Amino acid sequence: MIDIEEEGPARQKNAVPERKWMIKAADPEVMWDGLLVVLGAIILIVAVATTSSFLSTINATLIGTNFGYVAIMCLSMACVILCGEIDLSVGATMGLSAAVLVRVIQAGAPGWLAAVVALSVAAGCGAFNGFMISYVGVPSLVLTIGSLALFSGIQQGLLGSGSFVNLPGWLQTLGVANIGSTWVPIVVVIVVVEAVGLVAVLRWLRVGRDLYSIGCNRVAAYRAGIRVNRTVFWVFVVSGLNSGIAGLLYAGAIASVDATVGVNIELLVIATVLLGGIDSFGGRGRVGGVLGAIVVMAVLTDFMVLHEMTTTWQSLVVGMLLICGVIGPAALRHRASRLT
Amino acid sequence: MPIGRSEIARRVATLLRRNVREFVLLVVILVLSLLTALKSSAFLSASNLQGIGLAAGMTFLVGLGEASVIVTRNIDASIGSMTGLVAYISADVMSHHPGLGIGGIALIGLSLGAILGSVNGYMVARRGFPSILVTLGTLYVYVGALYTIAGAKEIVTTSFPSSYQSAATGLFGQVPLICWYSLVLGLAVHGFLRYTRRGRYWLAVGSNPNASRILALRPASTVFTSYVFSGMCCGIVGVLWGAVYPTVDASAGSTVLLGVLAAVLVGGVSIWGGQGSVPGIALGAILLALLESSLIVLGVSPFWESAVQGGVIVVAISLKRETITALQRRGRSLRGRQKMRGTSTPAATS
Repeated sequence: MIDIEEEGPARQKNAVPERKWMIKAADPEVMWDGLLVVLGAIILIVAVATTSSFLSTINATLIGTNFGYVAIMCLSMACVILCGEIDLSVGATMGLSAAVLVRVIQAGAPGWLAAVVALSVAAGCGAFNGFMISYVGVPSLVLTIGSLALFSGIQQGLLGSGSFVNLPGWLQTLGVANIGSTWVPIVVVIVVVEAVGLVAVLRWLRVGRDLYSIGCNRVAAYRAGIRVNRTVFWVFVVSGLNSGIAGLLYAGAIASVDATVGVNIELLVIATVLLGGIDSFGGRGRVGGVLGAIVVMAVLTDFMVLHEMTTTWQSLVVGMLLICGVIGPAALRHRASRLT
Repeated sequence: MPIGRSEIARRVATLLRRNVREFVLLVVILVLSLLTALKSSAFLSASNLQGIGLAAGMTFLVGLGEASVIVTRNIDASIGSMTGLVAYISADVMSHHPGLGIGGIALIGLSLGAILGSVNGYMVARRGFPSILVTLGTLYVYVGALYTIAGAKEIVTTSFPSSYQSAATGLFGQVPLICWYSLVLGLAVHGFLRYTRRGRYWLAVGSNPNASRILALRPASTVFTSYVFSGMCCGIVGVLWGAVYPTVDASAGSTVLLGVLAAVLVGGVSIWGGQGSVPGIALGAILLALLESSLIVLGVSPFWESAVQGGVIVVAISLKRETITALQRRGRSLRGRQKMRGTSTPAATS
């Protein structure tokens, strides 16, 4: 007892820095955001220095269209990881929605109907995951590996080895066109609208605060009267729906659909979300950080594509960033807890 | 003491009840083989059965390692890339130094697998990071390393000394050697998990990590060892890869994860940890290998194979006893709530 009383104030005095910004900078989350900014700045400087066409508006448009569909999935993945779950089937759902789209169009249906069917199938995939995870009680990490194989298997079964190019014109416009005569792609507007909505939900709506509670302590959230199962179910439905939207946008942007759509996208999505400071155990993190990570990853991907790095090299880099995203924030937090 | 007829019936009933999953799997395997054999007489030929045995043996060997991780309530998503990396490197070493022999290559492959596995084990067991995220990251790092080393090269293994090929595909009593290796390793793991103290602790760590820490069963070192063992199992299969397939390139092992996970889960290894049997894994591996060849015979396009594997995983985990009791408990609690409103209900969370 005496030891603690003597040590308490002394340690506190040591831990309190003189200035306000030092307190802020010692916060592990702020520190991680700072590291992310530094990483982004380094990538940007290297990219501008080595690639002459990097700072053109055409390239800015390309960055937006090439990463926009990933960004949409990142936003919903942030919610999934916030409530302590994981969804590895986003890439497969994306591919399946594109496959359903072309199959329905081939069957003679109009484009808008095909898009509606594809989005419903994607939301249905999410509902299947959500039902199995929250109502049947299967751990999400194993279930979504299974549904990853299931959905991408159905995608391959539907498409075979063929490639389909007859996509509706409006979808292609949606995928690649800019707003009016500016250089901002429509996809980026969709991402921004979704992000603003997500910020509002997580900050002001009860369901958003519930996500944090569920991620922090699921049993406590249940005891406090939060409908844990229902919330987790709808989070997975939204994740499926967003993957479907991403699949349609991607199909429109590429203007062709084959069985490789969406392969390995989940890695990029999860890496981006973790780099954005969403805690890998759930319950902690902000949309702002995810948006920052989206920008950094978009620039990085564009840089790697411009330098003609193969996709496997890209996944090596992204895999390492994923591990950094798991380890980095935890290490900083560990350091902070040791200092105070 | 003579055993009466009723006594035998009772014992058989107990055996059936305790090993329901194994018997159901056996019935499914028999029905599937029967259907396939009726459709095509070539199914029952020795070479086809030996091919199924080879595939099942490889799935089983990797599956033992994956199961040892899953019973500790973790997961190893990087098995495919570890297998591929070891397969390419050992074939590469073999092509440059054919004098090393199968023993030297096996040593290299095993130690490489152990190193790759210990990276996973360090981050999961010692640092406490979520196993799925760590192994997903290393999955792509290892695949990236494999592509960096291999590029577009392809190693033709048919020119290797015949002692190398026969190490895997050689026959001993009409059965491929890889099945005998599986039998030996499987019996060893079975004996370890069932009859040794350390083995019982292993399962205890998975069934309740907190309690096992309080009882000083050293859960962290158990989890670490399980990842190293998983890496070594991938090392064994990686070394044998070049002997089974005529060429090894950068895509080696890319299809391993789903098949192995499906085999292990359908074989009754619980994703909640602490449960699993070696015979179950063996039957799961046989079922998956059988499915692969039956689907072709039964006229299903190979494009659907991944969907079938995914379906097997989803069905296998939904049929686990824990899942079913969770549903029953939920049903009971719902009924209870209707009867006496306001009383507390058990938390329906994991």
